[in-house]
Amino acid sequence: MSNYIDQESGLKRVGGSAALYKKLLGKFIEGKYQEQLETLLAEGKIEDATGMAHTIKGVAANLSLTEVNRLALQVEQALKSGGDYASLVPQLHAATDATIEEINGL
Amino acid sequence: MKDLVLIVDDVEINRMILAEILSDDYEILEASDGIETLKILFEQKVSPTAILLDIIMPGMDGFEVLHEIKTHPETEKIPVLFITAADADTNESRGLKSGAADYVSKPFNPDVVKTRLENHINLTRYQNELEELVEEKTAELQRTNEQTLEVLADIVENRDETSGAHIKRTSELSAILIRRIISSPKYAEYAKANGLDQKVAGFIVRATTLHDIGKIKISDNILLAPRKLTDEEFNIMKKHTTYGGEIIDSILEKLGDNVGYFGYSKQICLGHHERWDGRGYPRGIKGDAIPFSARLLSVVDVYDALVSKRPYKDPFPHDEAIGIIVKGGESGQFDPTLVEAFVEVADEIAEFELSLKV
Repeated sequence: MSNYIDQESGLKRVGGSAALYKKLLGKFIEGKYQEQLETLLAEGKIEDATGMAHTIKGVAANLSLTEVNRLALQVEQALKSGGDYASLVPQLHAATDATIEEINGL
Repeated sequence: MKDLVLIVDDVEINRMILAEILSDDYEILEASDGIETLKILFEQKVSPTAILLDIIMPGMDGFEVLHEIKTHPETEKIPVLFITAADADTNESRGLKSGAADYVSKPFNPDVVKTRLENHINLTRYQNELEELVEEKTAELQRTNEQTLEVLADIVENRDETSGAHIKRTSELSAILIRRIISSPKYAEYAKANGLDQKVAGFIVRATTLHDIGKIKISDNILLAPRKLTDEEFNIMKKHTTYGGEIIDSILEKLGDNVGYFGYSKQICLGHHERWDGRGYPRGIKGDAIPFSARLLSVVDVYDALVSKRPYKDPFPHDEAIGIIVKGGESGQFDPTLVEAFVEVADEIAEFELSLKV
């Protein structure tokens, strides 16, 4: 049982098509969201970074990428409230890497 | 044919998922930002049955797009469902207040998305059908009432052969004159002061057809006398104005003014023989105290009498009749502004008369 992807619910969300689900997971990798997020943060663009965290959260929710979803939400909230996002971003990074690894293993 | 649904979201994965969920039941069109959405709707004039709209997008956000959709008459009725994230930071209530029909939350639940969309499409369709039905029924009622009026005007017409064509001509001449007043900027203030707009103008023109309805109470030997009337007879003839007012009153009592112009008919019946200087009848009121509709018809009515053949006189030629109207204005018979406008449309009137002779 995977910790990062809830395949059963993800498949249901996209209408039950396994092929589409795989394609969408591929899109998630191609999107390089984590990279984009970290670049924006490095450039100090907090507002854009908040938007990116929001996007990651939404995409992850739709694909049932549970860990990424959970951590992206925390990052988004931390960015919005001026909280400690710096310690959360590496966790999201790690979760993203692990998720991608799992996708590639499907 | 399937209904078209426009999906607006900056994230491709979200669009793809929604498209997949909905593609069995709908044609799908996608847009990735606000600008593209507005292009699709207002430049390409695509008219989707419903729109799924993401709130948080770079550039123009969902609220701004929604505002544009709801402030354009061609798109205002399209149901818009917001795509929101299902956590504490959502703007659901703001979205609903600003005119969104509903929202679908991320992560998407396919059944919920489908059902909500379908409900709103059906609801909108039902609402549009009801609106059409109300419009149809209103138009039907209006037609019935107008037919009743035509019958009334016909009764007057059949009584006195000269007035039949007279009613049609005076209503057309009124239309020409009133068009001049509402379309020329120089009369803008005058039109406003007299409460004139397209709708009122239409009412007044239709209301003129009843201006001589009171003549049905005038006996044949006076109404149809093939000569100039004696003073006594003329005094009786003058009463067609008050009689007309009373007849319209009794119509108003029974029907109410649901055609919207009986009120004007009454003004016209009562006031079309009043004079600007107060020397007219039946009440001898003057200037603005005479309703605009009556002042208008009085000019037109006199002009038409001048150019018509009567048992006791030959018709005046057009130019001469216009000259008499101008003199009438100078002598205080007519509203000077209306005389001015009447002279300006003299050519149009001449053309209209010519068209009758063909």
